[in-house]
Amino acid sequence: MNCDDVRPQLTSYLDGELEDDRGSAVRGHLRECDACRAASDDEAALRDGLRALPSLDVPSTLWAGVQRQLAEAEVADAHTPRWRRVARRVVARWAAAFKPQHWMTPRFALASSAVAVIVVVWAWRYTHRDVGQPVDVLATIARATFVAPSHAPNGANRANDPKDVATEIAAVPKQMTDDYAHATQELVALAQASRAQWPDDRKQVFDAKLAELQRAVDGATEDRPRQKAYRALIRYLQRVTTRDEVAFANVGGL
Amino acid sequence: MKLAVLTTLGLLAAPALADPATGHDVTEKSRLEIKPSGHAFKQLAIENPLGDVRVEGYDGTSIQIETHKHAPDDDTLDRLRIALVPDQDGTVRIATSVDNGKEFRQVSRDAVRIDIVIRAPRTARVDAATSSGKLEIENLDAGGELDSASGSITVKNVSGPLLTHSLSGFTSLTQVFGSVDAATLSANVDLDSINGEKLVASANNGNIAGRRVRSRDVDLTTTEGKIVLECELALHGHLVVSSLHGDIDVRLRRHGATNVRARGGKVDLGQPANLVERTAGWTVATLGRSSDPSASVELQSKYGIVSLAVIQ
Repeated sequence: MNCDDVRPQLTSYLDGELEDDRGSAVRGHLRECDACRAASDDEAALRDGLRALPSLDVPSTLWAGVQRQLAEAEVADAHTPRWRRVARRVVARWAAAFKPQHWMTPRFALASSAVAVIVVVWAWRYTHRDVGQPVDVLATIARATFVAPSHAPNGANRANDPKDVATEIAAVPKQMTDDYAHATQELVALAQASRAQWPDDRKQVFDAKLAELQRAVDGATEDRPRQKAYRALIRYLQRVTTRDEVAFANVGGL
Repeated sequence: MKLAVLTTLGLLAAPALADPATGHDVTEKSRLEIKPSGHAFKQLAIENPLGDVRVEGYDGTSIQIETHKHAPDDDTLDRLRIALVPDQDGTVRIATSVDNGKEFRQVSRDAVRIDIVIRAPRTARVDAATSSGKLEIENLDAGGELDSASGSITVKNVSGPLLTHSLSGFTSLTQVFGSVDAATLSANVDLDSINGEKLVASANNGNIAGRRVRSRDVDLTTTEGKIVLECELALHGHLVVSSLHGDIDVRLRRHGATNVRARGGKVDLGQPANLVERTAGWTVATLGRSSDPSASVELQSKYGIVSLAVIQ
Protein backbone atom coordinates (compact mmCIF):
# COMPACT_ATOMS: atom_id res chain seq x y z
CA MET A 1 0.00 0.00 0.00
CA ASN A 2 1.48 3.33 -1.01
CA CYS A 3 0.58 6.99 -0.44
CA ASP A 4 -1.73 7.13 -3.44
CA ASP A 5 -3.71 4.21 -2.04
CA VAL A 6 -3.87 5.63 1.46
CA ARG A 7 -4.79 9.28 0.87
CA PRO A 8 -8.28 8.63 -0.56
CA GLN A 9 -9.04 6.35 2.39
CA LEU A 10 -7.99 8.73 5.15
CA THR A 11 -11.49 10.11 5.69
CA SER A 12 -13.01 6.67 5.99
CA TYR A 13 -10.16 5.56 8.24
CA LEU A 14 -10.65 8.48 10.62
CA ASP A 15 -14.37 7.74 10.67
CA GLY A 16 -13.64 4.14 11.59
CA GLU A 17 -15.43 2.93 8.50
CA LEU A 18 -12.70 0.73 7.04
CA GLU A 19 -12.78 -3.02 7.43
CA ASP A 20 -10.31 -4.40 9.96
CA ASP A 21 -7.68 -5.49 7.42
CA ARG A 22 -7.85 -2.25 5.40
CA GLY A 23 -7.81 -0.17 8.57
CA SER A 24 -4.80 -2.09 9.78
CA ALA A 25 -3.00 -1.56 6.46
CA VAL A 26 -3.69 2.18 6.52
CA ARG A 27 -2.59 2.36 10.15
CA GLY A 28 0.62 0.53 9.29
CA HIS A 29 1.34 2.91 6.42
CA LEU A 30 0.70 5.95 8.63
CA ARG A 31 3.20 4.71 11.13
CA GLU A 32 5.92 4.65 8.51
CA CYS A 33 5.05 7.60 6.32
CA ASP A 34 5.56 11.06 7.79
CA ALA A 35 3.77 12.81 4.91
CA CYS A 36 0.61 10.71 5.17
CA ARG A 37 0.67 10.94 8.94
CA ALA A 38 0.82 14.73 8.66
CA ALA A 39 -2.09 14.62 6.21
CA SER A 40 -3.99 12.41 8.64
CA ASP A 41 -3.26 14.82 11.50
CA ASP A 42 -4.49 17.75 9.41
CA GLU A 43 -7.66 15.91 8.48
CA ALA A 44 -8.29 14.95 12.10
CA ALA A 45 -7.64 18.52 13.29
CA LEU A 46 -10.00 19.88 10.64
CA ARG A 47 -12.72 17.47 11.64
CA ASP A 48 -12.28 18.27 15.30
CA GLY A 49 -12.45 21.97 14.48
CA LEU A 50 -15.61 21.52 12.43
CA ARG A 51 -17.13 19.42 15.14
CA ALA A 52 -16.40 22.15 17.67
CA LEU A 53 -18.16 24.84 15.60
CA PRO A 54 -21.48 25.97 17.02
CA SER A 55 -24.56 25.03 15.06
CA LEU A 56 -26.03 27.94 13.10
CA ASP A 57 -29.36 26.24 12.63
CA VAL A 58 -30.96 26.83 16.01
CA PRO A 59 -33.69 24.27 16.51
CA SER A 60 -37.13 25.31 17.64
CA THR A 61 -36.79 22.98 20.60
CA LEU A 62 -33.81 24.90 21.95
CA TRP A 63 -35.65 26.33 24.94
CA ALA A 64 -37.15 22.96 25.74
CA GLY A 65 -33.64 21.50 25.69
CA VAL A 66 -32.35 24.21 28.00
CA GLN A 67 -35.19 23.58 30.40
CA ARG A 68 -34.51 19.87 30.28
CA GLN A 69 -30.85 20.41 31.10
CA LEU A 70 -31.74 22.70 33.95
CA ALA A 71 -34.07 20.03 35.26
CA GLU A 72 -31.33 17.44 34.92
CA ALA A 73 -28.92 19.68 36.77
CA GLU A 74 -31.45 20.03 39.56
CA VAL A 75 -31.87 16.28 39.71
CA ALA A 76 -28.10 15.91 39.88
CA ASP A 77 -28.01 18.51 42.66
CA ALA A 78 -30.63 16.57 44.54
CA HIS A 79 -28.33 13.57 44.47
CA THR A 80 -25.29 15.55 45.54
CA PRO A 81 -24.44 15.07 49.22
CA ARG A 82 -25.51 17.98 51.37
CA TRP A 83 -21.99 18.73 52.57
CA ARG A 84 -20.85 19.24 48.99
CA ARG A 85 -23.63 21.71 48.27
CA VAL A 86 -22.84 23.59 51.47
CA ALA A 87 -19.15 23.65 50.58
CA ARG A 88 -19.92 24.99 47.09
CA ARG A 89 -22.06 27.80 48.52
CA VAL A 90 -19.38 28.74 51.04
CA VAL A 91 -16.69 28.82 48.35
CA ALA A 92 -18.89 30.90 46.04
CA ARG A 93 -19.67 33.43 48.76
CA TRP A 94 -16.04 33.69 49.76
CA ALA A 95 -15.03 34.22 46.16
CA ALA A 96 -17.59 37.00 45.83
CA ALA A 97 -16.45 38.60 49.07
CA PHE A 98 -12.77 38.39 48.19
CA LYS A 99 -12.32 42.06 47.24
CA PRO A 100 -9.62 44.36 48.54
CA GLN A 101 -12.01 46.67 50.38
CA HIS A 102 -13.54 43.72 52.20
CA TRP A 103 -10.27 41.96 52.74
CA MET A 104 -8.73 44.99 54.45
CA THR A 105 -11.43 45.41 57.06
CA PRO A 106 -10.87 43.88 60.51
CA ARG A 107 -14.54 42.91 60.48
CA PHE A 108 -14.07 40.70 57.43
CA ALA A 109 -10.91 39.16 58.85
CA LEU A 110 -12.72 38.36 62.10
CA ALA A 111 -15.69 36.90 60.24
CA SER A 112 -13.37 34.82 58.04
CA SER A 113 -11.56 33.41 61.04
CA ALA A 114 -14.84 32.51 62.69
CA VAL A 115 -16.13 30.79 59.57
CA ALA A 116 -12.84 28.91 59.18
CA VAL A 117 -13.07 27.61 62.77
CA ILE A 118 -16.69 26.55 62.24
CA VAL A 119 -15.84 24.77 58.98
CA VAL A 120 -12.92 22.91 60.55
CA VAL A 121 -14.99 21.82 63.55
CA TRP A 122 -17.91 20.82 61.31
CA ALA A 123 -15.61 18.89 58.94
CA TRP A 124 -13.98 17.10 61.86
CA ARG A 125 -17.32 16.15 63.30
CA TYR A 126 -18.59 15.06 59.86
CA THR A 127 -15.62 12.79 59.18
CA HIS A 128 -15.71 11.38 62.73
CA ARG A 129 -19.45 10.98 63.00
CA ASP A 130 -20.90 7.65 64.08
CA VAL A 131 -22.42 6.06 60.98
CA GLY A 132 -23.73 3.10 62.90
CA GLN A 133 -21.24 0.62 61.44
CA PRO A 134 -17.80 -0.41 62.61
CA VAL A 135 -15.27 1.45 60.49
CA ASP A 136 -12.09 0.79 62.39
CA VAL A 137 -10.15 -0.31 59.31
CA LEU A 138 -11.08 2.79 57.37
CA ALA A 139 -10.40 5.10 60.24
CA THR A 140 -7.04 3.50 60.85
CA ILE A 141 -6.10 3.79 57.19
CA ALA A 142 -7.22 7.38 57.01
CA ARG A 143 -5.07 8.26 59.99
CA ALA A 144 -2.12 6.22 58.79
CA THR A 145 -2.06 7.51 55.24
CA PHE A 146 -2.91 11.15 55.64
CA VAL A 147 -0.03 13.53 55.92
CA ALA A 148 -1.36 17.02 55.42
CA PRO A 149 0.39 18.51 52.39
CA SER A 150 1.99 21.86 53.01
CA HIS A 151 1.39 23.06 49.47
CA ALA A 152 -1.11 23.04 46.67
CA PRO A 153 -0.90 20.03 44.31
CA ASN A 154 0.20 22.22 41.43
CA GLY A 155 3.02 23.66 43.44
CA ALA A 156 1.41 27.09 43.61
CA ASN A 157 2.88 28.08 46.94
CA ARG A 158 6.22 26.44 46.45
CA ALA A 159 7.38 29.42 44.45
CA ASN A 160 7.52 31.66 47.52
CA ASP A 161 9.54 29.20 49.53
CA PRO A 162 12.84 30.88 50.42
CA LYS A 163 14.75 27.60 50.43
CA ASP A 164 17.48 26.88 47.93
CA VAL A 165 16.67 25.04 44.72
CA ALA A 166 18.65 21.97 45.82
CA THR A 167 16.57 21.68 48.98
CA GLU A 168 13.35 22.24 47.07
CA ILE A 169 14.18 19.64 44.45
CA ALA A 170 15.08 17.12 47.13
CA ALA A 171 11.70 17.70 48.78
CA VAL A 172 9.63 17.08 45.64
CA PRO A 173 9.28 13.28 45.96
CA LYS A 174 7.98 13.56 49.51
CA GLN A 175 5.59 16.32 48.48
CA MET A 176 4.26 14.10 45.72
CA THR A 177 3.81 11.23 48.14
CA ASP A 178 1.94 13.57 50.49
CA ASP A 179 -0.38 14.60 47.64
CA TYR A 180 -1.17 10.97 46.91
CA ALA A 181 -1.78 10.39 50.62
CA HIS A 182 -4.11 13.37 50.73
CA ALA A 183 -6.14 12.09 47.76
CA THR A 184 -6.28 8.67 49.38
CA GLN A 185 -7.67 10.15 52.53
CA GLU A 186 -10.42 11.95 50.58
CA LEU A 187 -11.35 8.77 48.74
CA VAL A 188 -11.38 6.76 51.95
CA ALA A 189 -13.94 9.24 53.27
CA LEU A 190 -16.07 8.71 50.15
CA ALA A 191 -15.72 4.94 50.38
CA GLN A 192 -16.75 5.17 53.99
CA ALA A 193 -20.10 6.61 52.93
CA SER A 194 -20.67 3.77 50.46
CA ARG A 195 -19.50 1.12 52.86
CA ALA A 196 -22.12 2.04 55.42
CA GLN A 197 -24.80 0.77 53.02
CA TRP A 198 -23.20 -2.55 52.12
CA PRO A 199 -23.97 -6.01 53.48
CA ASP A 200 -21.45 -7.57 55.81
CA ASP A 201 -19.86 -9.93 53.26
CA ARG A 202 -19.08 -7.06 50.92
CA LYS A 203 -17.65 -5.05 53.79
CA GLN A 204 -15.34 -7.90 54.66
CA VAL A 205 -14.02 -8.21 51.12
CA PHE A 206 -13.53 -4.46 50.95
CA ASP A 207 -11.77 -4.27 54.32
CA ALA A 208 -9.45 -7.12 53.41
CA LYS A 209 -8.53 -5.62 50.03
CA LEU A 210 -8.04 -2.19 51.54
CA ALA A 211 -5.82 -3.59 54.27
CA GLU A 212 -3.77 -5.47 51.65
CA LEU A 213 -3.25 -2.33 49.56
CA GLN A 214 -2.45 -0.31 52.66
CA ARG A 215 0.17 -2.85 53.67
CA ALA A 216 1.69 -2.45 50.22
CA VAL A 217 1.89 1.32 50.81
CA ASP A 218 3.42 0.90 54.25
CA GLY A 219 5.88 -1.71 53.03
CA ALA A 220 7.02 0.24 49.98
CA THR A 221 10.22 2.19 50.13
CA GLU A 222 9.99 5.97 49.99
CA ASP A 223 9.24 8.01 46.90
CA ARG A 224 8.51 6.19 43.62
CA PRO A 225 7.62 2.73 45.00
CA ARG A 226 5.38 4.26 47.64
CA GLN A 227 3.74 6.55 45.10
CA LYS A 228 3.07 3.53 42.90
CA ALA A 229 1.47 1.71 45.83
CA TYR A 230 -0.66 4.77 46.54
CA ARG A 231 -1.80 4.88 42.92
CA ALA A 232 -3.01 1.28 43.17
CA LEU A 233 -4.86 2.14 46.38
CA ILE A 234 -6.38 5.26 44.82
CA ARG A 235 -7.53 3.39 41.74
CA TYR A 236 -9.14 0.73 43.90
CA LEU A 237 -10.95 3.34 45.99
CA GLN A 238 -12.10 5.17 42.84
CA ARG A 239 -13.61 1.99 41.46
CA VAL A 240 -15.23 1.14 44.75
CA THR A 241 -16.82 4.56 45.12
CA THR A 242 -17.99 4.82 41.52
CA ARG A 243 -19.11 1.23 40.97
CA ASP A 244 -20.04 -0.11 44.39
CA GLU A 245 -17.99 -3.18 43.59
CA VAL A 246 -15.24 -4.32 45.89
CA ALA A 247 -13.43 -7.15 44.08
CA PHE A 248 -11.24 -6.16 41.16
CA ALA A 249 -8.65 -8.45 39.65
CA ASN A 250 -6.03 -5.82 38.90
CA VAL A 251 -5.75 -2.26 40.09
CA GLY A 252 -2.01 -1.86 39.82
CA GLY A 253 -1.83 -0.80 36.18
CA LEU A 254 -0.62 -2.69 33.10
CA MET B 1 30.49 -5.68 35.09
CA LYS B 2 28.54 -2.57 34.88
CA LEU B 3 30.10 -0.06 32.60
CA ALA B 4 29.46 3.30 34.15
CA VAL B 5 30.67 6.46 32.56
CA LEU B 6 29.72 9.65 34.28
CA THR B 7 29.75 12.56 31.93
CA THR B 8 28.99 16.07 32.93
CA LEU B 9 27.69 17.74 29.88
CA GLY B 10 28.51 21.11 31.31
CA LEU B 11 32.21 20.41 30.80
CA LEU B 12 31.62 19.86 27.10
CA ALA B 13 29.43 22.85 26.71
CA ALA B 14 29.95 25.99 24.78
CA PRO B 15 30.85 29.03 26.89
CA ALA B 16 27.99 30.56 28.80
CA LEU B 17 26.12 33.14 26.85
CA ALA B 18 24.10 36.01 28.12
CA ASP B 19 20.46 35.62 27.12
CA PRO B 20 19.20 38.86 25.62
CA ALA B 21 15.59 37.78 26.09
CA THR B 22 15.66 37.90 29.88
CA GLY B 23 18.50 40.27 30.54
CA HIS B 24 19.62 38.69 33.83
CA ASP B 25 19.50 35.10 32.65
CA VAL B 26 22.62 33.16 31.76
CA THR B 27 22.13 30.18 29.48
CA GLU B 28 24.24 27.37 28.18
CA LYS B 29 23.47 24.96 25.35
CA SER B 30 25.20 21.64 24.90
CA ARG B 31 25.01 18.83 22.38
CA LEU B 32 26.24 15.31 22.72
CA GLU B 33 25.91 12.17 20.62
CA ILE B 34 26.39 8.70 22.03
CA LYS B 35 26.96 5.84 19.63
CA PRO B 36 26.21 2.26 20.57
CA SER B 37 29.25 0.08 21.23
CA GLY B 38 28.32 -3.43 20.16
CA HIS B 39 24.72 -3.51 21.33
CA ALA B 40 21.76 -1.29 20.55
CA PHE B 41 20.31 1.12 23.06
CA LYS B 42 17.23 -0.52 24.54
CA GLN B 43 16.05 1.93 27.14
CA LEU B 44 16.31 5.55 28.16
CA ALA B 45 15.78 6.43 31.81
CA ILE B 46 15.48 10.18 32.31
CA GLU B 47 14.99 12.14 35.52
CA ASN B 48 14.76 15.89 35.15
CA PRO B 49 13.18 17.69 38.10
CA LEU B 50 14.51 21.01 36.75
CA GLY B 51 12.69 21.47 33.46
CA ASP B 52 11.23 19.98 30.28
CA VAL B 53 12.02 16.68 28.62
CA ARG B 54 11.31 15.90 24.99
CA VAL B 55 12.20 12.59 23.35
CA GLU B 56 11.81 12.04 19.61
CA GLY B 57 12.31 8.65 18.03
CA TYR B 58 14.14 8.38 14.74
CA ASP B 59 15.56 5.68 12.50
CA GLY B 60 19.18 6.04 13.61
CA THR B 61 21.08 4.03 16.23
CA SER B 62 22.79 6.73 18.27
CA ILE B 63 21.33 8.96 20.98
CA GLN B 64 21.59 12.69 20.44
CA ILE B 65 21.14 14.86 23.49
CA GLU B 66 20.66 18.61 23.51
CA THR B 67 20.51 20.40 26.83
CA HIS B 68 19.68 23.98 27.64
CA LYS B 69 20.52 25.35 31.08
CA HIS B 70 19.22 28.61 32.50
CA ALA B 71 20.45 30.32 35.65
CA PRO B 72 20.59 33.86 37.05
CA ASP B 73 24.42 33.97 37.07
CA ASP B 74 27.51 31.99 36.09
CA ASP B 75 28.11 30.55 39.55
CA THR B 76 24.60 29.15 39.71
CA LEU B 77 24.90 27.84 36.17
CA ASP B 78 27.96 25.87 37.27
CA ARG B 79 25.85 24.18 39.94
CA LEU B 80 23.48 22.66 37.38
CA ARG B 81 24.58 19.11 36.59
CA ILE B 82 23.57 16.56 34.02
CA ALA B 83 24.78 13.03 34.58
CA LEU B 84 24.85 10.50 31.76
CA VAL B 85 25.36 6.84 32.58
CA PRO B 86 25.22 4.19 29.82
CA ASP B 87 24.71 0.73 31.35
CA GLN B 88 25.98 -2.43 29.77
CA ASP B 89 22.45 -3.79 29.39
CA GLY B 90 21.61 -1.11 26.83
CA THR B 91 20.04 1.36 29.22
CA VAL B 92 21.13 4.98 29.16
CA ARG B 93 20.39 6.99 32.30
CA ILE B 94 20.19 10.76 32.25
CA ALA B 95 19.64 12.67 35.46
CA THR B 96 19.79 16.34 36.34
CA SER B 97 20.66 17.76 39.74
CA VAL B 98 21.88 20.86 41.53
CA ASP B 99 25.13 20.91 43.47
CA ASN B 100 24.52 21.69 47.09
CA GLY B 101 26.88 23.33 49.51
CA LYS B 102 27.16 26.13 52.03
CA GLU B 103 29.46 28.15 49.84
CA PHE B 104 26.74 28.65 47.23
CA ARG B 105 24.43 31.60 47.09
CA GLN B 106 20.88 30.38 47.58
CA VAL B 107 18.60 30.64 44.57
CA SER B 108 14.96 29.75 44.25
CA ARG B 109 13.78 26.87 42.14
CA ASP B 110 12.07 29.20 39.70
CA ALA B 111 15.38 30.89 38.88
CA VAL B 112 17.00 27.86 37.27
CA ARG B 113 16.01 25.26 34.74
CA ILE B 114 17.40 22.57 32.50
CA ASP B 115 15.51 21.57 29.34
CA ILE B 116 16.48 18.39 27.54
CA VAL B 117 15.72 17.33 23.96
CA ILE B 118 16.74 13.83 22.96
CA ARG B 119 16.66 12.01 19.64
CA ALA B 120 16.70 8.29 20.29
CA PRO B 121 16.32 5.11 18.24
CA ARG B 122 12.65 4.31 17.70
CA THR B 123 13.10 0.91 19.33
CA ALA B 124 14.18 2.32 22.69
CA ARG B 125 11.75 2.25 25.60
CA VAL B 126 11.53 5.57 27.43
CA ASP B 127 11.04 5.95 31.17
CA ALA B 128 11.02 9.61 32.08
CA ALA B 129 10.10 11.79 35.02
CA THR B 130 9.75 15.53 35.44
CA SER B 131 8.46 17.71 38.23
CA SER B 132 6.80 20.85 36.86
CA GLY B 133 8.39 20.60 33.43
CA LYS B 134 6.68 19.38 30.29
CA LEU B 135 7.23 15.78 29.28
CA GLU B 136 6.83 14.91 25.60
CA ILE B 137 7.60 11.75 23.65
CA GLU B 138 6.99 11.12 19.97
CA ASN B 139 7.58 8.49 17.25
CA LEU B 140 8.70 5.64 19.48
CA ASP B 141 8.00 1.92 19.20
CA ALA B 142 8.66 0.37 22.61
CA GLY B 143 6.37 2.31 24.92
CA GLY B 144 7.48 3.52 28.31
CA GLU B 145 6.50 5.02 31.62
CA LEU B 146 6.08 8.76 32.14
CA ASP B 147 5.72 10.48 35.48
CA SER B 148 5.21 14.14 36.34
CA ALA B 149 4.12 16.16 39.35
CA SER B 150 2.49 19.19 37.75
CA GLY B 151 4.03 19.20 34.29
CA SER B 152 1.97 18.20 31.28
CA ILE B 153 2.51 14.87 29.55
CA THR B 154 2.20 14.67 25.77
CA VAL B 155 2.55 11.47 23.77
CA LYS B 156 2.23 11.15 20.02
CA ASN B 157 2.68 8.21 17.64
CA VAL B 158 3.97 5.70 20.15
CA SER B 159 3.69 1.91 20.13
CA GLY B 160 4.07 -0.54 22.98
CA PRO B 161 2.74 -0.52 26.51
CA LEU B 162 2.49 2.99 27.88
CA LEU B 163 2.00 4.10 31.47
CA THR B 164 1.56 7.73 32.41
CA HIS B 165 0.84 9.26 35.78
CA SER B 166 0.68 12.84 36.87
CA LEU B 167 -0.55 14.63 39.95
CA SER B 168 -1.84 17.75 38.25
CA GLY B 169 -0.35 17.77 34.77
CA PHE B 170 -2.62 17.69 31.72
CA THR B 171 -2.14 14.40 29.91
CA SER B 172 -2.58 14.13 26.14
CA LEU B 173 -2.12 10.84 24.31
CA THR B 174 -2.45 10.75 20.51
CA GLN B 175 -1.90 7.88 18.09
CA VAL B 176 -0.91 5.24 20.60
CA PHE B 177 -0.65 1.68 19.29
CA GLY B 178 -0.50 -0.38 22.44
CA SER B 179 -2.02 -0.86 25.84
CA VAL B 180 -2.34 2.34 27.86
CA ASP B 181 -2.64 3.08 31.55
CA ALA B 182 -3.05 6.82 32.24
CA ALA B 183 -3.79 8.32 35.63
CA THR B 184 -4.03 11.84 37.02
CA LEU B 185 -5.17 13.20 40.34
CA SER B 186 -6.33 16.68 39.43
CA ALA B 187 -5.91 17.16 35.70
CA ASN B 188 -7.70 16.34 32.48
CA VAL B 189 -6.85 13.39 30.27
CA ASP B 190 -7.21 13.68 26.50
CA LEU B 191 -7.10 10.56 24.33
CA ASP B 192 -7.09 10.53 20.54
CA SER B 193 -6.62 7.55 18.22
CA ILE B 194 -5.80 4.93 20.81
CA ASN B 195 -5.38 1.44 19.36
CA GLY B 196 -4.39 -1.38 21.64
CA GLU B 197 -5.47 -4.34 23.66
CA LYS B 198 -6.31 -2.36 26.76
CA LEU B 199 -6.97 1.24 27.74
CA VAL B 200 -7.25 2.16 31.39
CA ALA B 201 -7.54 5.82 32.36
CA SER B 202 -8.52 7.51 35.57
CA ALA B 203 -8.75 11.05 36.90
CA ASN B 204 -9.76 12.04 40.37
CA ASN B 205 -10.63 15.71 39.88
CA GLY B 206 -10.40 15.95 36.12
CA ASN B 207 -12.25 15.16 32.91
CA ILE B 208 -11.48 12.40 30.44
CA ALA B 209 -12.10 13.01 26.74
CA GLY B 210 -11.54 10.30 24.15
CA ARG B 211 -11.86 10.29 20.36
CA ARG B 212 -11.20 7.52 17.88
CA VAL B 213 -10.59 5.04 20.67
CA ARG B 214 -10.34 1.51 19.30
CA SER B 215 -8.86 -0.43 22.19
CA ARG B 216 -10.39 -3.81 22.82
CA ASP B 217 -10.97 -3.33 26.55
CA VAL B 218 -11.61 0.18 27.77
CA ASP B 219 -11.91 1.17 31.41
CA LEU B 220 -12.36 4.87 32.30
CA THR B 221 -13.00 6.26 35.78
CA THR B 222 -13.36 9.72 37.28
CA THR B 223 -14.46 10.80 40.71
CA GLU B 224 -15.55 14.36 39.95
CA GLY B 225 -14.94 14.97 36.25
CA LYS B 226 -17.05 14.22 33.22
CA ILE B 227 -16.21 11.59 30.64
CA VAL B 228 -16.84 12.12 26.93
CA LEU B 229 -15.88 9.24 24.69
CA GLU B 230 -16.13 8.37 21.01
CA CYS B 231 -15.25 4.73 20.81
CA GLU B 232 -15.23 1.89 18.32
CA LEU B 233 -16.07 -1.30 20.16
CA ALA B 234 -14.44 -4.50 18.91
CA LEU B 235 -16.49 -7.62 18.31
CA HIS B 236 -15.55 -9.07 21.69
CA GLY B 237 -14.67 -5.79 23.30
CA HIS B 238 -15.58 -4.48 26.73
CA LEU B 239 -16.20 -0.89 27.70
CA VAL B 240 -16.56 0.19 31.32
CA VAL B 241 -17.04 3.87 32.12
CA SER B 242 -17.78 5.06 35.62
CA SER B 243 -17.88 8.27 37.62
CA LEU B 244 -19.14 9.41 40.96
CA HIS B 245 -20.33 12.94 40.17
CA GLY B 246 -19.40 13.43 36.51
CA ASP B 247 -21.66 13.09 33.49
CA ILE B 248 -20.89 10.32 31.02
CA ASP B 249 -21.43 10.82 27.29
CA VAL B 250 -20.46 7.91 25.05
CA ARG B 251 -20.78 7.71 21.27
CA LEU B 252 -20.25 4.16 20.16
CA ARG B 253 -19.51 2.37 16.92
CA ARG B 254 -20.02 -1.34 17.22
CA HIS B 255 -19.33 -4.34 15.03
CA GLY B 256 -21.69 -6.87 16.56
CA ALA B 257 -24.45 -7.36 19.06
CA THR B 258 -23.68 -5.66 22.33
CA ASN B 259 -25.01 -5.94 25.83
CA VAL B 260 -25.45 -2.57 27.50
CA ARG B 261 -26.18 -1.77 31.09
CA ALA B 262 -26.27 1.70 32.53
CA ARG B 263 -27.27 3.54 35.65
CA GLY B 264 -27.05 7.13 36.80
CA GLY B 265 -28.93 10.21 37.94
CA LYS B 266 -30.52 10.02 34.49
CA VAL B 267 -29.97 7.43 31.79
CA ASP B 268 -30.47 7.96 28.06
CA LEU B 269 -29.62 5.05 25.79
CA GLY B 270 -30.45 7.10 22.73
CA GLN B 271 -32.00 4.66 20.33
CA PRO B 272 -34.56 1.89 20.56
CA ALA B 273 -32.81 -1.26 21.67
CA ASN B 274 -33.98 -4.80 21.10
CA LEU B 275 -34.57 -5.38 24.74
CA VAL B 276 -34.78 -2.87 27.52
CA GLU B 277 -35.49 -3.65 31.10
CA ARG B 278 -34.74 -2.13 34.44
CA THR B 279 -33.38 -4.21 37.29
CA ALA B 280 -31.91 -3.09 40.59
CA GLY B 281 -31.30 0.44 39.36
CA TRP B 282 -29.74 -0.67 36.08
CA THR B 283 -31.14 -0.05 32.62
CA VAL B 284 -30.24 -3.12 30.59
CA ALA B 285 -30.46 -3.32 26.81
CA THR B 286 -29.22 -5.30 23.86
CA LEU B 287 -28.03 -3.50 20.75
CA GLY B 288 -28.02 -5.49 17.53
CA ARG B 289 -29.54 -8.82 16.64
CA SER B 290 -27.95 -11.79 18.29
CA SER B 291 -28.99 -14.21 20.96
CA ASP B 292 -25.49 -14.19 22.36
CA PRO B 293 -23.86 -10.75 22.22
CA SER B 294 -20.13 -10.93 22.71
CA ALA B 295 -19.37 -7.27 23.40
CA SER B 296 -20.41 -5.42 26.52
CA VAL B 297 -20.82 -1.83 27.63
CA GLU B 298 -21.24 -0.73 31.24
CA LEU B 299 -21.83 2.93 32.05
CA GLN B 300 -22.51 4.33 35.48
CA SER B 301 -22.43 7.62 37.31
CA LYS B 302 -23.88 7.78 40.77
CA TYR B 303 -24.90 11.42 40.57
CA GLY B 304 -24.34 12.35 36.94
CA ILE B 305 -26.20 11.93 33.67
CA VAL B 306 -25.38 8.89 31.57
CA SER B 307 -26.01 9.00 27.84
CA LEU B 308 -25.13 6.62 25.04
CA ALA B 309 -25.50 7.16 21.31
CA VAL B 310 -24.75 4.56 18.70
CA ILE B 311 -23.07 5.93 15.59
CA GLN B 312 -24.31 4.17 12.49
